[in-house]
Amino acid sequence: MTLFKMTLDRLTRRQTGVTNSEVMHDRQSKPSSRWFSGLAGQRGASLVEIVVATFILSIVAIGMAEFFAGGRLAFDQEEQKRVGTLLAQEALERTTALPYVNIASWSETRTIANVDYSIAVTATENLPQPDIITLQCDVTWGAVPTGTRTATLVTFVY
Amino acid sequence: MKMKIRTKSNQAGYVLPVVTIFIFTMGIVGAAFFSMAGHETLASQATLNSHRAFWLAEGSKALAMLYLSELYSPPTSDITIFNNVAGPDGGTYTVTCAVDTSVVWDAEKGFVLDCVGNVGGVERRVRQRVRMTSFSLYAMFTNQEKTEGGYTIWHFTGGVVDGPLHSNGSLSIYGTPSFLGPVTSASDHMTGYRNYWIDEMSDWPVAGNNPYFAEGAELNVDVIPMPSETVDLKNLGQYGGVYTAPTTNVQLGVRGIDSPVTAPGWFRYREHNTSDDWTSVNISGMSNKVFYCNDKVYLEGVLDGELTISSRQSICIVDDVTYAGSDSSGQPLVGCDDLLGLVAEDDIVFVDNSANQNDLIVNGVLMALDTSIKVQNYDEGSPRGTLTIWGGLIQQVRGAVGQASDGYIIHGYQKEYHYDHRVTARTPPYFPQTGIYEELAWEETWDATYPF
Repeated sequence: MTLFKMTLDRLTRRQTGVTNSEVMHDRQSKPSSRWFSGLAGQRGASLVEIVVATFILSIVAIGMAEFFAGGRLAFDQEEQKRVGTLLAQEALERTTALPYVNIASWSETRTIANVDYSIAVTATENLPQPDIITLQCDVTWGAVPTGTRTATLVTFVY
Repeated sequence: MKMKIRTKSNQAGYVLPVVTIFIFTMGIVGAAFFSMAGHETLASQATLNSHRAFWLAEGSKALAMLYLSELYSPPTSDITIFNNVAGPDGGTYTVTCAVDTSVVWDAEKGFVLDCVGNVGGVERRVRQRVRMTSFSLYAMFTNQEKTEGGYTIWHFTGGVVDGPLHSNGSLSIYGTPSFLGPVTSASDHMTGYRNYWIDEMSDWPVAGNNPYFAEGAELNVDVIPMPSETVDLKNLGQYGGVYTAPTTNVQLGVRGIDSPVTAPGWFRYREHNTSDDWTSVNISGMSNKVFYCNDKVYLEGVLDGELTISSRQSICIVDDVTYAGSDSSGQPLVGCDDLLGLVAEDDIVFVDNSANQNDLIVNGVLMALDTSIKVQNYDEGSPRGTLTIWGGLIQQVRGAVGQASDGYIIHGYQKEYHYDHRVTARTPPYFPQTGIYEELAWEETWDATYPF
């Protein structure tokens, strides 16, 4: 209310040609208006400044929010990639620890931190040579917004 | 009326500078964040590449093991097996094979495989020490668990095999025999008495048959083919060893042209059933410690040292064959460095003669390529006591050593076989090898020059 009155006073004075000193005098004669006495040297912000600043800040804030959200997503995706890699590593270790004759393809799904990882180990016999088994482990998971991602490890067993 | 807004001369807005500073600060924070996200992407990719490189190195080791096993003879010097070969999922691998100079005994054929995987500039290096295994490693090895007549041979209650056992055939179990070493079979099953088919070890016990496998049993392992001839040993006997053509008598631990004189570290030989002079040989003077006879060998005596005796036909044991470093029961004593290998293309026979009528002790690793290790006239005459063997028995099929009735030996010998555990670290000179490389020690390192 007082801020509004102060702004209105300013505009009124400019329109009526009342000088600053007159206003000062007038204020001194009205003890009830002492509240405004400190405004003489005050450096303030105009409505236009505030509007422009708010606008710029809004643009920047929205951009930064998008930027940080995207960055956070990237961090999450890379973390998921690490988890996927470790799951593939574990799957190959489990498979290569088996006796040669028991090595076969297998698959399973693991959920870690609310992300479903699909683990598929493919055992291909006699590839690339007889008596060699090629073991390929593909760990896939759904990533937002890039879709399905995969971490693949390949080795041979003799 | 026109409304005019003017800024006072002494009035300066602070909002825009503050906003500018704020945006600038946020820009710096954003750039830092952007940089971190970029590094995070690179780091996670490097992690994946590192694992890919590791498994590429491990895979290349498997390929190198296959390469070695397919060589006609083991490498005699350092070789590069693979050089920057493209991997199945990108990257490259390189494998070099260095002759392991740390092995004490040359015939052990030890090697170090240095395997390097490289994916996306990330390099991982693993080193594997390998050794070609010898048939002498086994306490018992058979190509088939049959008699020469094709009948099934059973492992009975009370029977103990106290070392590694492998058969390319199927094992048959009657009661509760004990297997104290690892047991492997190329067959897909074992048989329990009364025709119980066992294809999983968890199926035991069945119908009172309950074998004890102290170190486990594995079915469906690869067939380990036995050699069928002794050409390599013949060459070693002819060049650097001792070679004879006719049937030969060999006496260990003695020397002399005529009457034997005890001589540890020596042996003498002459043509069988002749009165020729004996030829004496100092074992330590042989560059290849191999005696090869192109016919039968008749053997007895006490060995001091390492020696492999091989025959184009059969090796006949005519009396005790023991180590200088063993006790009266035949058990090698602590520190015993004697080791005998007997390799016959035909049989190893414990002769039915006067010297072998009351117990028989044999030290050595015995190998009969075709057909078995057996007792002459095992189903005739009075019981001959106990046949004690300290070493290993490798044979095509299992030979008979005696006959029992109601649990008692009525002909031939009572068996008492012991594994000579020293053969896990040593083999008799140039004893036939399986062609299979055994993985001994593994490490990951970044420096190939660092000692294993």
